[in-house]
Amino acid sequence: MPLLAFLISWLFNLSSDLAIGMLLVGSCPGGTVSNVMTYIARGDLALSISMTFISTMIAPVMIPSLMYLYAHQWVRIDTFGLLVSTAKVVLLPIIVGLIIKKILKGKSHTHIHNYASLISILFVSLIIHTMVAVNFQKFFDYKISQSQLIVLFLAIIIHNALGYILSYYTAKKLFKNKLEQNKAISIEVGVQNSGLASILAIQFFNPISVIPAILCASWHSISGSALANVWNKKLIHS
Amino acid sequence: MLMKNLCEKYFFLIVSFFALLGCLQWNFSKSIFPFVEIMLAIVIFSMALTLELKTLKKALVIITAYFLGFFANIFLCLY
Repeated sequence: MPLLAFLISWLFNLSSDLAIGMLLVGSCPGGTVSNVMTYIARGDLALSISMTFISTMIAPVMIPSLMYLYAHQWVRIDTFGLLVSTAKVVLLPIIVGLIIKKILKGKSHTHIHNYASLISILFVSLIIHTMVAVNFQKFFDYKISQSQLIVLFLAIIIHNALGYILSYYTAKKLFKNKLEQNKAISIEVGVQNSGLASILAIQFFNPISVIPAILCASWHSISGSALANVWNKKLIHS
Repeated sequence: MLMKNLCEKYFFLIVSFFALLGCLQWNFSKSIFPFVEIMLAIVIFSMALTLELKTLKKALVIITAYFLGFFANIFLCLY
C-alpha cells in the first residue's frame, strides 16, 4: 500500500503535502471497521482480527520506517500510547468476548450472531458518522482548489481499488488461500486505519496533509461496505 | 433474524447514509466523537463473541509466523 501510494502520488503529480498524506494512509495498519466488513462478506473473521491486531502492534516501527523510506521524513510515534490504545480497543474486547463466549458454551448461538451483527453495524455507522461530522469543516478551513480535490479523490479511489484487487489476487494465486481468507486479506489491506493517519498528519506535517486521510476515512468505509455487500450477495445467490 | 438480514443486506446503504448525515455537522454527531474508542471496542467485542478461540489462535500463529519470517529475511539481508 505505501508503494502504491507513492507511485499514484507521483503519477497524479500531487503536491508534496497531499502526497505525504497519501503515504501516511498507505503506511497505516488495517482499520478496525474492516473486521465488521469481513464478517458481513463472510470472510475469515479470525484472520481479519489477527491481522488488525498484529499490524497495529508493529505500526510504531513500520510507519516511521516507511515514511522515512518514501518521503525522507521522520515521524515519531507515541509507541506506548498506540500500544495502550490497541490493547484497549482490540486485545481487551477480544479476551472479554472469548471469555463470555466460553461461559455461554454455545448456548443461544444464533442469538449471539444476530445481536453481534446488529450492534456492530450500528456502531460502525455511528463511528463513520461522527468522523465525517468532526472533519467535514476541515475541507473549508484548509483552502484546497476544486481541481486538486478531484485529482486527489481519483487517486484515493485508484489506490483503494488496487489495494483490494492486488491483495485478493496475491492471496489467491501466490499463497493459494481459501476464498474466505482471500476476502479477509483483501478487505484488511484495502481498508486502512485513516483515523491514525489523520492524527499523525496533524501532529507532524503541514495541516493540508490531513485532507487525504479524511477523504480516505469516508471512502474506505463506503467502498469496504459495498464490497462486503457484493460478496455477501454472491454467497446468498450461490 | 429479519432485522439482522436486512441490516447486512443494506450495510452499504446504511453506512453511506450515516456518512452523508455527518456532512450536516449536527452537535449530537460531534458530541459522540470522544466515545469513538469505546464504540470501536464494542464492535470488536461483538465480533469476538462470534469467534472460536481455536480459529483465532490458528490465525494468530500463521500471521505471526509470516511477520517473523519477513523480519528475519530483512535481518539476514542487512547482515
